[in-house]
Amino acid sequence: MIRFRTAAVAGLAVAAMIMLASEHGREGTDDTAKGAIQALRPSYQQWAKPVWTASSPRAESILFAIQAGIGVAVLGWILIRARKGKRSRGGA
Amino acid sequence: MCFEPVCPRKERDPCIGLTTYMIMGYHYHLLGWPTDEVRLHIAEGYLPVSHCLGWTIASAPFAAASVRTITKSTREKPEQRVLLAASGAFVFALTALRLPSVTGSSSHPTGTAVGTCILTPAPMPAMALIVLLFQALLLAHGGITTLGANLFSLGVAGPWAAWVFFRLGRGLGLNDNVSVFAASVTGDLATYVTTAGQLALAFPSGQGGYLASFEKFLGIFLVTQIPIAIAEGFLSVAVVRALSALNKPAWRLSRSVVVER
Repeated sequence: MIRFRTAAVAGLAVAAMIMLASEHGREGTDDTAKGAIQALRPSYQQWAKPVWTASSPRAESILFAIQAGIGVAVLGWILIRARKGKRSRGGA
Repeated sequence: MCFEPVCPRKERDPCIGLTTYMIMGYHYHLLGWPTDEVRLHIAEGYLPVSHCLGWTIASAPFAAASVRTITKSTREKPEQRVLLAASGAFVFALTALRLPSVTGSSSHPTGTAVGTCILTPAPMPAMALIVLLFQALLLAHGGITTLGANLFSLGVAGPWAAWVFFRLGRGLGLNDNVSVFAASVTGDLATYVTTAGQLALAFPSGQGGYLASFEKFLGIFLVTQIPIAIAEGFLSVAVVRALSALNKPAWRLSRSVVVER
């Protein structure tokens, strides 16, 4: 039991580190598709805004890291649990 | 991403390759490599109202059908729950990753091919919907108004394209790994081609019309996406193999082609 919890936490931590490390590249990024829309239709007005926007790029990175972490943790937990179950049943 | 103990021996190479690719990519970020971000989803408010409504109507039946499929299969085949959870988790993890590409831009993998190869494309729209809602509400990525359009590209077009290529690969008698790889690459690219198509329909170019506009949007997405789609293909093969190795009874019961052997 302790092993997959450890693995899940480790997965979360690695994902978080990766996402935070990538934050630097996020600065000054440009959304190319939005730019293309503005070029094709200069008069187009964005008619809706996101309901809530992260206050800083760092906060956004952390949220993305949480999303990746949840996914990696669940997938890792399933794979490791199944692997252990198979071994305890005497499978290869 | 790859859990060494569950990776079958043959699959370790692609796993290592992908990990190296990701680590190298993030080093570029650390060094301040100039990057342009290509977004997976159409941003909030960037589709005209009529298109938002149209795509919502187009994807609603798929979403409803997938919820019904999932409810039914968890009731009748409880052993499939773990595969549903694993496929959903894979989509969740991959859509949060930003991978750098050769063009200096970065983009997201889609991750829908794993679930498609294991469980058919039927349950995928619901998983895509969860991811899109999460990203639209918490990450300001995509949007509620463009939810229908994004659901169509990520949850319907991508998985169905992957499914067609998976069946095609199996039909031609190709190795399962090759079929899953082809399905994953196609599914990833099809998602972006659909997004480009949706944008072109909404914003036809003044000179060249829909086609010129489609080419323009395709140019933005596709070049960046090809290396990422290939990397995702390797990862999908590793995950599908790990999942298929661990749960044999569920495989036989599911409708997936992998099982029909």
